[in-house]
Amino acid sequence: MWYKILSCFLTIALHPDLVSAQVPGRQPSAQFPQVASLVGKQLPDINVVDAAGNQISTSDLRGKYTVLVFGCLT
Amino acid sequence: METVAVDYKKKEVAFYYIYKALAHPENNGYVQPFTLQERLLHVAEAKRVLGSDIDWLCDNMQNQLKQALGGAPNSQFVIDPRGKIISAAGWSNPGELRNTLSELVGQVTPVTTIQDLGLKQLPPPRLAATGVVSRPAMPGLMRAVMVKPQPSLEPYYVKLRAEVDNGFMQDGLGWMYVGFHLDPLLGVHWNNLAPPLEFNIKTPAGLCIASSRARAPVVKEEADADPREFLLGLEWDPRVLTATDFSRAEMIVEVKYYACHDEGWCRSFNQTYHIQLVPDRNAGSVRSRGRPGGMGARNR
Repeated sequence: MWYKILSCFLTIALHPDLVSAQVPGRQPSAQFPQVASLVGKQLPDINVVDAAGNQISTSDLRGKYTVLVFGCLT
Repeated sequence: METVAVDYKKKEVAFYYIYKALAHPENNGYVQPFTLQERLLHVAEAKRVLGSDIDWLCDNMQNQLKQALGGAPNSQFVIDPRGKIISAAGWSNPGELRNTLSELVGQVTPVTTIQDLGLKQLPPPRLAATGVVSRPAMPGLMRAVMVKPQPSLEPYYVKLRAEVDNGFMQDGLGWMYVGFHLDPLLGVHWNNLAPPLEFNIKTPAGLCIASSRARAPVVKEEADADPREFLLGLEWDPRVLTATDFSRAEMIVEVKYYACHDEGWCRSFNQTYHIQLVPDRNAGSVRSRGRPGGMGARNR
């Protein structure tokens, strides 16, 4: 019975966000191989909002080369 | 990134920062937003402190874009005009990006330097006094669990973060961290002239908590911005609460606190949360708990 919850937590333990916080000295990009595997795939169509709160779809970004960079305040 | 954007916007390349859940809550006092409107406050704050000219988009509160693009906190992508991902880096690298764009649309000369831009970066918001209330030492590696704020007519000026330790993860007996953090973007501080924060927790059968009620310590200063934090012993009895039901079980936290806004009003608030003891993949990891000046630094 315990293994179910343990495996659940191990899943998060191995999540890259957490690995990045706990393995000093590793090259950051090397920690996210799942990102590199996205090359060649279509940008998924997902609703987001702009800074004014207007909803847009990522498909609205088509038509020119586009750079997306994830970030936050911390 | 700013210089690459300035140079390659001239070549009709579009640039966007994608705002996502905080990677390291508590750094500079920032805490995870609960709503999209609050996340948009973060976007405005990011624009303010970075002085960036790059446009921001904001991931939805289900964090779907982040999850769909690999879940990395600072990844970078180049999308072609048809919507195909043609370059992806797990960690943003402006130098590599410049090379990629140079191959796609040609070099830009002269190259803009960061000095050319004169970005006006501003400090994070000023807080009331910190370092006033001592912070608990964590018993070991902690993992954030799901916190669900229940509907409230008032903003969540104070935000709950909940974590459990390895002991609980491994054998069902350990500690739960319960921390109430002021949101620095909502402009409030604790009103220490009023009674301190207090809360109670109702647990489902099979989950036993050492203290179902607790009250924060009395603070001598009239106001401060330190979190009110508690470590509570927690035990799971799988004979009563099965593993299947465990993941759905919710604790109910009712909190009462007094806060004052920087503009002058002071009020009491009663708010309710549900906690599920399942990992929250989007809660980020606290790195700065307990460090002076940083709204705390994690003790590792």
